[in-house]
Amino acid sequence: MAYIDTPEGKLHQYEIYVTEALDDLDRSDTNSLLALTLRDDIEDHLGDFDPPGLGKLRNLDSILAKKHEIVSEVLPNPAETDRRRWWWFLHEGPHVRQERQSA
Amino acid sequence: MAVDEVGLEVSGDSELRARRLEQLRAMSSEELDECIRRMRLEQDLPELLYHFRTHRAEFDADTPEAYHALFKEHIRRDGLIFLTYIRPRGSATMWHLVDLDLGNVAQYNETRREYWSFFRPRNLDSFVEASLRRSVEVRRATSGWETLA
Repeated sequence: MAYIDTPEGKLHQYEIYVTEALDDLDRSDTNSLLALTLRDDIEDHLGDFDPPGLGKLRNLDSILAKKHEIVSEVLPNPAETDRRRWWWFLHEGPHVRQERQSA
Repeated sequence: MAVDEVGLEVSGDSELRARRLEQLRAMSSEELDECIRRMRLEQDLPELLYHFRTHRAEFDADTPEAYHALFKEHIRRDGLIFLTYIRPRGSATMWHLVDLDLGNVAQYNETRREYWSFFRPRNLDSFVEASLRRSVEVRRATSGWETLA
């Protein structure tokens, strides 16, 4: 199994995207799509993550939400309609994450 | 033209896509062929170490050299899909060279005439679907290249 297929590998890659790659404004459009599609994959396999991993995910999600203006470059995406996947709706503002958490 | 929240001029996907399609249709088949030939002959991925650090886990590449070798192999592969678009931020003309079999994508900045990145999206279908909203696909036809609007 490749590292990226493991929960640790996915979190590692997600961390690189949200803490570094999104800040590269020359490539932020592509890096935003990479981050959002990886976040989908993490959500699809959420049951594989242990409590520390889920804690780290929450922290990284906070960083992603703070960078909502950057990822908005590739949003909205009409193909994404499931609001539980709040990251696809960040063009509406960072509040979409809190709304999902309170739902 | 709208202005986004960080103060940059942005155009809608459809407007940029239409503009790119217009540019492509103004090019002769020979010009397009030369553009694609140039991309496929390029060997260099500027800022290699930066891209290696950012994307190494996607490829499980152990060294920058291994990552660069995958890049060079990729851009010469048969059967690549060519997607081209105008970046909303900065208006650079970009290409994605997509390998649907291996899931790898090289990004080329035509405005700067250099490769811009090399990566493997976790979900290639989603990535391509999202890219297609703002891109034009350029495909080899019996006589030259054709653009798919």
